Amino acid sequence: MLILSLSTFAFSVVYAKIYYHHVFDTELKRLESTVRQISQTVSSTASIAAYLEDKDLANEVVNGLVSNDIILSAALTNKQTVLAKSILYKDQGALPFYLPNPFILQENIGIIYVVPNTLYIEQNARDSAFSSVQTLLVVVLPMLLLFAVLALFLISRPLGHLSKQLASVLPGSAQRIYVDPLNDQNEIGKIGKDINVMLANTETLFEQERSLRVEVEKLEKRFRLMFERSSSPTVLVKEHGEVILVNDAAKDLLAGMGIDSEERFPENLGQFCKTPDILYTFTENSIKLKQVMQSEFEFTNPLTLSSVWLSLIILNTKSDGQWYFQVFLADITARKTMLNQLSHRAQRDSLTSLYNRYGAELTLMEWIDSETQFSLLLIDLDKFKPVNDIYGHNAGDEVLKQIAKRLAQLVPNTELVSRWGGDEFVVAIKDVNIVKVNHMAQQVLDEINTSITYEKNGHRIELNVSASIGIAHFPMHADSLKGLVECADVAMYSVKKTSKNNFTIYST
Amino acid sequence: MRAYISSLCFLLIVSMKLEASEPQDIVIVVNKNNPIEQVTHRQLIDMYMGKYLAFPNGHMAITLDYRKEHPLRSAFFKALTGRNISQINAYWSRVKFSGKASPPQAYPSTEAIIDKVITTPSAIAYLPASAVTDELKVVYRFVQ
Repeated sequence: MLILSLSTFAFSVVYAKIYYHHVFDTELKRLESTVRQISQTVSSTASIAAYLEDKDLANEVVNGLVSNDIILSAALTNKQTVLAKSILYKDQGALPFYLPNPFILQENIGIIYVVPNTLYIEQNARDSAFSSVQTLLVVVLPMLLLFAVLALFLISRPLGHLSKQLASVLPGSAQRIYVDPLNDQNEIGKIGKDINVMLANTETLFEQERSLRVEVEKLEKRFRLMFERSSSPTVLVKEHGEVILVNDAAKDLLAGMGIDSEERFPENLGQFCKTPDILYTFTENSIKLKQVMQSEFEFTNPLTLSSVWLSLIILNTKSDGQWYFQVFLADITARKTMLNQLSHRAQRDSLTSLYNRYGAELTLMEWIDSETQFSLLLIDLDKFKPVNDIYGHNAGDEVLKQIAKRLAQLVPNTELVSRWGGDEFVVAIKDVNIVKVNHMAQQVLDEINTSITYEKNGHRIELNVSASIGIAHFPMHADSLKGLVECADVAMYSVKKTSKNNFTIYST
Repeated sequence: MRAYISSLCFLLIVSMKLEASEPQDIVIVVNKNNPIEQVTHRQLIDMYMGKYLAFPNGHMAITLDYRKEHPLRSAFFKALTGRNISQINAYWSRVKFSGKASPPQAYPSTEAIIDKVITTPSAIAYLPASAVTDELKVVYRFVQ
């Protein structure tokens, strides 16, 4: 409404201004043309005055001209002289009117100079323009006012009413706006009806939206249930390690390891991992390559200080331009322990609990692979068969057990003691010189030579055995395990054939 | 006989009237002793319209005209200025008012004009070409 009034006012002002200028210009032209006409009227008398050089007649002409309000001053000249001029006459702004010879029309004999009364003419034009504008405004302003009032009552008010109603309508509800029957046939009524059509459409759309949302919520609930109740511990992580979702199984697992489930991944696991560097490299690669990756890591449970093995599977998914990582955890400690036990069993001799030949070979192969220098002592018991034959297998087993125990005590944990097979033992010692090896061989012999007490049927029996020991050095004597054992074997046999109960180092 | 004479007279009058109404050459004449041999059309205008009252050689000139009702007057001024007689009369009434110039002296007939020119050395007048005598000097001729 304010805009309407303002634009009405602005229009009036602009129109009045244009009209004023128009009237002013027209009036100015009219007055100038009047000056021309007056000058034309006196030109025949003026011609005569110029022809006869009659100053009186010339004065009469000039005075006649000046008596007009719109002429400020005038002068009449013939070719040579000024015949008459009014007191205020100046050349500036004078309009010349050429005077012909009254009898020879082609000949100019003089000029009338007329100076229009510009101030008077302009004032006149202004007055005339102003009064025209006044008249115009008297007509136009009430008309515009009437227009504005009609616009207010016929357009602005009904529109305002519609807009107020529309503002109070809740989108999607069954509410409709009221259309005045007076406006039923006009544009206002049409707008109202269109709004109602739109509201009806909106309601339908909202209805569809609502039922869809219910569907989506139902589905989401199911998926959430699947995720949360899943027995597989699962964690959903954003690209930079922010943990978004943790299901119940994962919560239990992490809580069991004293890890806060809100902590960032993979630092939450890394702090207790035995090989955190490998864990971090693994997760980094998985994130970088966007591939499914699986690996197993050993952790120390800070609560129980026991070893925990976890399997990690990282799955990358992209959703709405954002990368997510599904981390599946699995506690594989039990399986790992079982495997360790199996492996232990495979590598151990059940009678003596020492490494068996297979276990010893694994260790020695490792040493050879890492180029660790070592001496291998192949120990073969002398006089063992008679013990078995005379006192029975149990006695023989007891001998083997006792010797194994003594050797295990004698040789440091870092070195190797094993039952190579039957009555053969292998001891391997790293980084030793010949003196130490000899010393160790002597100590082994001493331990074996010490009598073994065996009880059978309440009788204490002293059992005595000895041993032949062949020694070979890696890599001095051979650069493979097979070759090394052969060398030791050769050395051992040379003892066995000669003195027995002795040791010797392989020599070519 | 009387009827014959009167009918002859009638014919004469008619023939005279016919002669008068026909366009005829007008000439400008001066006194025989006037040294001026000829004048220009322009000089004639200036002398007859009151601008100069002198001959081109500077001697004073007395312009002679006919009375208002004389038929030759209208033809002369038409030939001289291209204007009809009422415009010429209006001119003189305007000029006489300011008193700067005065119209030529007016005479009733060609005879009176001829007498005046013969007796006045500085006179100048106009005549029908047919009225010119040996005692007059023609200085200009309007060709119809």
